[in-house]
Amino acid sequence: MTHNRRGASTEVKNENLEQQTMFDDLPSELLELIFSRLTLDNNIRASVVCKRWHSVATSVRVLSYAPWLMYRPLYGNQYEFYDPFHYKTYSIDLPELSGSIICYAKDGWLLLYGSETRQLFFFNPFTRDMIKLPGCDETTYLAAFSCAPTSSECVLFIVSYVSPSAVNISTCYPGAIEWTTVNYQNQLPLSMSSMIWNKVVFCNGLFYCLSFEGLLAMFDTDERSWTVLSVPLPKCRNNCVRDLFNEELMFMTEQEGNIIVITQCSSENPVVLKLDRTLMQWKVMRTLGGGTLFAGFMSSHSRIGLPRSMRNYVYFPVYGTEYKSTISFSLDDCSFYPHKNWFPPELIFCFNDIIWIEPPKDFSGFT
Amino acid sequence: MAEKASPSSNSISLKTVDGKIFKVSPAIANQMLTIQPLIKDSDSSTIISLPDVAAFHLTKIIEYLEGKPAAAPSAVDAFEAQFVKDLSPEELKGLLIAVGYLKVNGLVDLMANTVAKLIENKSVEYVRKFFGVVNDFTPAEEAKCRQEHAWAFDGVDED
Repeated sequence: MTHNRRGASTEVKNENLEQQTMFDDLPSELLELIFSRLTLDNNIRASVVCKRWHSVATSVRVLSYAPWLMYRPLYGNQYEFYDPFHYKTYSIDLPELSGSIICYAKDGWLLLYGSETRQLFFFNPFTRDMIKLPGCDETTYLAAFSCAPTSSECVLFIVSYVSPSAVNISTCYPGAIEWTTVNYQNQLPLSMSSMIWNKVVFCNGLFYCLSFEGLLAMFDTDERSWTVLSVPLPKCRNNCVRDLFNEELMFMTEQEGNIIVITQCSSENPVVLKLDRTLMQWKVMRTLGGGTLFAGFMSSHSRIGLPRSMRNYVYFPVYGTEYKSTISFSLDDCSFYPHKNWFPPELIFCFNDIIWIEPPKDFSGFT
Repeated sequence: MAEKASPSSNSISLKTVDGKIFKVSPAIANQMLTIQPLIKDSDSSTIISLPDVAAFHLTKIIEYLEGKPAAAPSAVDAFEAQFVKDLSPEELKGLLIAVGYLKVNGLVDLMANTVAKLIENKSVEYVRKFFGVVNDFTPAEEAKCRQEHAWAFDGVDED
């Protein structure tokens, strides 16, 4: 009865139906305001209520999620996870990780090195799936992978220091019985610290490596070629010396096919640089175009389409016994939030045993 | 000149859809962003009509703007919790529309959050009933929507 009258004549609506229909006629702008405050699961349920709610809920649905911080405990296996969007902390026992060192994280998976087994392995802390890998003879190395090991595209990559003029590069894939290792000569004359590769990221079929001195090299997984690029990273204003002990921190990630490096030198503000592949130059980015960067010692991430409050920020972890949180730098007004002086300086930009990791989309939290 | 000196000369008159006139201070009226441009040019004789706002809603809005503590976030939280506590769904909706129309500083957030909390962790059926929304999906359409994100339909509160 109600249903028919409502559809047939809207004029009588105000007189007779005010009691029965309550939120049916709420303007879409107001529904948007309400739905934009809902978490993904609540947004999805609201979208099934009726057709109009469906269109409003899907229009404000956030498709991208901020990675979480994973903290390795000083003792034992009680790991902590911090969700920077909901300011929530979870604690979970992961005995599987006992005696292992975290090397890299991507697509919700960790790459770890078992100090007893002396082997690399994959572990997903959300599903607790583990994937073993063949043993590798290299000893000092930087390791990374291209995408989730459950994908057929997944490639593992290790770069090891041999001498200032040479590197060993080992590759492998989940399910392989051994690693393929090839020795490459560096085409450019390099000093020792310029050849210690410190950061690695995969982008469009290439593994990019960044050295302590800010030099960039790339390994092509199809052609199996190693190229050191002559594009030195611009120096910070203090013009400090880049070596193994330098005070300048560097982070590297990839955003929509572009290589991004974040530099942070003591009291200076962070600088975000993008590699221009055609001009072979680093360009300073004044805006992230609504994107968000998450800088981490072992792996850094970028996101597009996060909630508005997180856009155009670079997030850094803050770590101390009392503090497990983040500090973020806004590219819009060039300031830190919260203020940098709020924290003891040794707790920010210190990255030991902290890694950014993306929870799966349907993950609502540890119980 | 003489009448400008009288105490009421500074106040702004707001007329609700049901014909009541409220006199508020410019500091209060200025927090209603929609009418802000009208306040500058108005004097004591001006009456600003608010076609989408009933007297009940304007009373609540003024109560909020006058009563909201200036300092401590914890005091604000307590005040806001008390403010929305006894509102019926119908009153919530009316107030949300009024506040959205007037763009009342702080209150838009509070009202949207309050309604969002009523949706959180509730089943689709409960939400339809509580908010009086008619389901215009066919059973097949609804099943398809649910199937796409089946995980989101587990673990909701009891209706």
